[in-house]
Amino acid sequence: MHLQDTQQDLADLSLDADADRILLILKIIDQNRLFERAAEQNNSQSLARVLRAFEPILLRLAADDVTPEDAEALRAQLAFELSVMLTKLSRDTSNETQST
Amino acid sequence: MPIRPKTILAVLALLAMSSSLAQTTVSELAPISELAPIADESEVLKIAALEALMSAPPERALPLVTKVLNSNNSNEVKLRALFVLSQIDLHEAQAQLLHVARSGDGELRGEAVRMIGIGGNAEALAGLADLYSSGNEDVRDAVLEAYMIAGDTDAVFQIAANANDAEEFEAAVEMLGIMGAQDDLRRLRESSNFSEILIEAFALSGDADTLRELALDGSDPETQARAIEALGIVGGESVNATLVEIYRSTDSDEVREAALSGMLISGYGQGMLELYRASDNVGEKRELLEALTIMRSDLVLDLIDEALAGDR
Repeated sequence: MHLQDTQQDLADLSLDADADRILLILKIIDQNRLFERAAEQNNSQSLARVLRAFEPILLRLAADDVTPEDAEALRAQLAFELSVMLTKLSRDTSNETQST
Repeated sequence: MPIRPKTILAVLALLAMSSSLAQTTVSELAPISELAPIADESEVLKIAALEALMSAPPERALPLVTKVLNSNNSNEVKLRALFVLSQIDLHEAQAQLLHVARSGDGELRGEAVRMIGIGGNAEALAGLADLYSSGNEDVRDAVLEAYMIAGDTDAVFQIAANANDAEEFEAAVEMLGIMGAQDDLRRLRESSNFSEILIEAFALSGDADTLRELALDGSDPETQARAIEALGIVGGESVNATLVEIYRSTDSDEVREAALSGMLISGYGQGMLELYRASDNVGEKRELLEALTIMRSDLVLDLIDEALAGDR
């Protein structure tokens, strides 16, 4: 057991910052797919399309050869699009509340 | 209780803004206006205004976004405006996206195509077909991506079925795989010359049944080996059992090697361990041990211990 733990620790140590970043992005991609499916099941097709559109951006972010400048630009794009979607959904929710 | 779209996006936003993603620290993550690599402060303000525009009624927002697109703004600002345009549920907004997709410069054109996918408007999507036919490779890739975003498998299938060359066929088939369009891929398998890319696409789409059929068909050993390896990409309990069965029952070294690769890809260490313990062949045991070592399975430590002790 101790050897197994040590092996895991060594494996973790070998991860550099890039590997950490890629793993995190892959995790986000997995989450994104789950949310996309949830959106489809909830008949939110427009949201499902936006989430599908995020995946190519996330994959570009995970690429080995992405420069810090490109990564920042992609992240900014992603953040903007997420923010716009949240604003739109808030607007729609607010309209629904007012009309009831 | 259904999951609310806003909740989904909020969670995603939190994930996407994780520190490592941007290769920055948490303290650096805050308003996008402080982070975007834009030198001009007025541009930062314009982008923030575009973001805020989404709270306005579509009829009020459309002329303002149009003005941004028609004015002498940087591509950075116009790219953001295109996204806002895609979220305006008016026919004019989608028509404008199609106009930019047809006549804009390279960067804006590609982004407008993507936005048509996001908008999901049937008429604008139909307009992409002409653009695909007359466009260069970048435009064709962008159109395929837009169809993927829109979930329009039929449009991608038509491109694959009517492809003029292998490259075009492969790009469309790969996209069908990404889209999980198993029925369309099966139709292509029946109607077109079989291609290696179809096996990859079956794997991408998670079609274990078709791959299993190919994996058990020994009429073309090369195709069979590729299908066996591709099963590993799909993974899962049933696939793992198939891989072990193929490994055990074959007389072909190539097929056995492919089955081992499949298990390696699917991360099925337990199956390799069972095969290792069942084998009396030193060479085979060495191969299995190497495979377990490659996948860094915890199980390998027990095996090394056994091998060193000479127990089995």
